Amino acid sequence: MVPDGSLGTAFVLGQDLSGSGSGAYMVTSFDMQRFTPIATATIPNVVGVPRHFIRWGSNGLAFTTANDVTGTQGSAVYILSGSFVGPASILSPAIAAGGVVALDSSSNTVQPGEWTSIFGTNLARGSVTWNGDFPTSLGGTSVTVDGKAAYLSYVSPTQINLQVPDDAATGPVPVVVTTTSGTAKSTVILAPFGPSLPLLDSKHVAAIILRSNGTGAYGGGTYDIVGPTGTSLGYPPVAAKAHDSVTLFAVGLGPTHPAVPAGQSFSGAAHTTNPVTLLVKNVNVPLAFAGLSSAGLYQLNFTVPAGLGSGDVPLQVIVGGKRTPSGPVISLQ
Amino acid sequence: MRSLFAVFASSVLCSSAATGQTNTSSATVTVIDTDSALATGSANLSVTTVSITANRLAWDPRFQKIYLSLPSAAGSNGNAVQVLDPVTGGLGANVFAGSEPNLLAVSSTSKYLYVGLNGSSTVQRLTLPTLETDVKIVLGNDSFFGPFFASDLQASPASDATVAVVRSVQNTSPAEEGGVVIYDDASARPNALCGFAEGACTGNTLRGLFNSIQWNADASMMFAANNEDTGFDFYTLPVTVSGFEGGTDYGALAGGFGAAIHFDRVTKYVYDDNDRSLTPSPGRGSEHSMLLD
Repeated sequence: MVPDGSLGTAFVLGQDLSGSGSGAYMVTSFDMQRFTPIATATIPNVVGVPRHFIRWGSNGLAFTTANDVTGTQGSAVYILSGSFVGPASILSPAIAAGGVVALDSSSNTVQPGEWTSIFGTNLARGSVTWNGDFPTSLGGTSVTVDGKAAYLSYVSPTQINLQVPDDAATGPVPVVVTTTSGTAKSTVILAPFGPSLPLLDSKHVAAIILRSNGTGAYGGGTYDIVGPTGTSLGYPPVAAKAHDSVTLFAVGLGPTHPAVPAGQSFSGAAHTTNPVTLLVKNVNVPLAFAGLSSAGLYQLNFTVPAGLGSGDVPLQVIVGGKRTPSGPVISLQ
Repeated sequence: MRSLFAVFASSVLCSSAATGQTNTSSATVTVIDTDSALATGSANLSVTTVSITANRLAWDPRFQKIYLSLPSAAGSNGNAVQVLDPVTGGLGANVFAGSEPNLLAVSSTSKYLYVGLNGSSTVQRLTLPTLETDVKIVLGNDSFFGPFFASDLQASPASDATVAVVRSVQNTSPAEEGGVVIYDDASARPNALCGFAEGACTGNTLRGLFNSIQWNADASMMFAANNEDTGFDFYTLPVTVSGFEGGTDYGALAGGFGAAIHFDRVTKYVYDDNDRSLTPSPGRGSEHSMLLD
């Protein structure tokens, strides 16, 4: 076999059972990230038995053959070349129209440092998740926003999650996805605020109920996950009730004090410098805290007021004159 | 935790009158649609067959040529290094190299071509691109098993003058009885890796079977695999100007009988002929894990 990391492809020369004794050999290309086959090429009428296999040039392979054990077949050199060997064997990436959006949002306005998604096709050769190390290249994919390298947390053929790099620019800026097969370009609007609420599914916001008495189902009893009663999420969440202490997670809530640079881990409390309003069922709910608690991720701490009803109720966050998109709900009881 | 690798697929690479006839055809390419995002359907592969008896090939990225080692069985053009233009399939110069040339290694900047001469227990260095005779590295012999030949030959990625040689003997199992020696020009570094039963060896204390070798990207480390006995050891071997300085033996990690290893400079992984990968980075200590871990 011959690995070629620059192509992200390993090439294996061999023979399957159907070709045994026929002189037909196969070259199979494999994705070095995913360990999955990409394509095969059958080389018929090979004289002798393959002996030594190499890569050459930008798109070449070659191998020698030797006599088989009977010493009767002869030998030759086989030179292979074509797009089978080059990176063109994978389709170029493409970003969907309006496919650069804030996390779990349809808004294409984001702020520097915000967790953002790119949707499209062929955005990566496989699904790869970061190690929490803010890589600018992941699984052979990289992204720039306004020419600056973004920090990638997840890549797959159809979705990239990234943290927008710090940037003083505002307005439309280019977004470029680069893979081993090419580049794809789109735009996103940079702004001081790009509020969005991360979701557990298509509509339920990511939030937890703090359990100071240790009765929570998660975190060693310290919290429950807020969600509709039942197992529709695949795990047992709890609907929040009046007087529960809830932490709601958000992105894009604007500048903080202290400022937290993108591209590096953060743990602490950096409060927002602009007022944040939380509306639950159109009721303004006072916030005990609004700010970053980890890289790019804000949390809003509040106590659920009485009188908001039960079931899934809408909520929105307003900051800097911008609202989170409508649609997300929080489960109450 | 030490774990083994993802499996690509099963494949076997098994192991002669030079006429130079060339034929070109096309391979039948099938795209495997395991993921719609990877489907293309447009790949092509042309096949050029050159009727010539050759043991090994080496690609020269600087001069854009392939060198072939032609055994004596190649007839009047045998015992030589043959230049092949892979773009045209045309044969170029044919230069006598010595007795039974086999392994080839192009040096880091294509200054030299190292040629293992199985018939004379030497490695002959030729200058590139002219293929003129340069220094000859004498591999020596085992007092009991006889003369060594190069069973693996790897040019240093850091210096044109440096090459590592696995020394083996014919018709003996295990064959790797001469260990691994790093040569600068024709001078052996003192700390060699000792052969399997090499009594007189006073080099590195790490004993084992070092059948397939690979340099890392900066020649500060060598990787080796035992593919001759069921220990199937994988070794990480720090390299200094004196030769090998210690090393670590990871048993049962190599790919199996006859499986060579291949280091990829981009991924920094080592791959073997059973289509698996190793993570030999010294920075990760003794961890060897699946690529997708």
